[in-house]
Amino acid sequence: MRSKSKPPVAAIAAAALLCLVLISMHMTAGMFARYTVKAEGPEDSSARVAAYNASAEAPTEGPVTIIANGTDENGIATYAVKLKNDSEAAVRYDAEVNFNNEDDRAKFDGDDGKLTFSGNLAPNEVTEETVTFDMSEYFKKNDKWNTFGNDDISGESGIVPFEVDVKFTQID
Amino acid sequence: MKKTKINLRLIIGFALILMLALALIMSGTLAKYTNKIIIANEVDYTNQLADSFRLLDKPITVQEDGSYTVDTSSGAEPMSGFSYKLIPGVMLPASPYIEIVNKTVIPAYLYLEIDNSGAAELEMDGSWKLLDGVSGKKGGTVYSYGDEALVGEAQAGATEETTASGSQADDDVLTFTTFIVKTLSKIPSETEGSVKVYAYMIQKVGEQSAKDAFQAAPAP
Repeated sequence: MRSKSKPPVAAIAAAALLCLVLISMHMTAGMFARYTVKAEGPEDSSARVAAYNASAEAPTEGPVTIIANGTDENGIATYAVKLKNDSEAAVRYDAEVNFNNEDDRAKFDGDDGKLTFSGNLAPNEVTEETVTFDMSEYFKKNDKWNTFGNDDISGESGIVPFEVDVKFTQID
Repeated sequence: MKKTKINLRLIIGFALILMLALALIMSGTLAKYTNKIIIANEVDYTNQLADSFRLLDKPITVQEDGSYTVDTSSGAEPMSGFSYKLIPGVMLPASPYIEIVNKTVIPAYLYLEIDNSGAAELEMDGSWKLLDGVSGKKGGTVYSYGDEALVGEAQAGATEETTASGSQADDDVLTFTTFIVKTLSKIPSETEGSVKVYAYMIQKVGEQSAKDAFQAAPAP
């Protein structure tokens, strides 16, 4: 009877190394390809890297003001963000409002609130999205919308810093 | 033995295909255009009607002839700190006023509730209007400061000092001028002879009148 042969360790190692080499070649080749311009055919034909410039802008000076329930603002304020795609490629945008202190997020949990948004932009397309800060439920829950008393002020005022993080990604 | 060799080749083959596919996906992802933009700002919120709301007065001193005068040289103090003897036939001048600091843009009505136990007659300033048929939170008579709600000029949370609209004796004080105990209509017992003044500021919700807003508000 023949003795039990050992697993071909050398063959496995060689195969793994081959894979790594192939992966490296593939990735490197891909990266170089993104910066290569190649022209073929008639003299007026050319190939170049597509332009890319996706941007978002919104007011950064002057706060977003929210006033108590029962007023015209009714505990709600909006914040418009303009999104612009000056690229030659379509892009997707995903945005989220983040707070320096995450506990502040609970202040804006009203039904009409909108703290995230996303969508697509075609080349050279401009659009506007609206963030909605809804404190109506917070004011109601805390029963602080009626100030009343003698030498006694109830209610609450505050400033909540926030960031709108907009991430753009090229669509294939 | 032969069966084992075939399995090993299969495993290596699958692994190779899997790694190539993975490399393809990764390289495609890395090559995409991406960027991230951060826009910073802040939310400024309030449901306060003002930063401070107090009922103040200046002390009254007795003169040699037995009359009383307001000590204008003294600074105003919270009205709860005053205690005077109401003497029949003697007029007690007083000029309590309401101090409102940093009135916000939230509209609100201003009220006075007077509970004098029937022991005194008060002369109210003309700006105050009796709310007929309204019982005070403490059982007294209720007056509103005009018919219009007060609205501050400052934005919510603004740090600069602002005042309520309406007549003002000083830059930052809203007053209802002189309030005089004219004469006592009867000789009161010690418990009857009190005059209590309460001031309230209540948010105007929607189109509420001063009377509606007062009645809708809970007792303090």
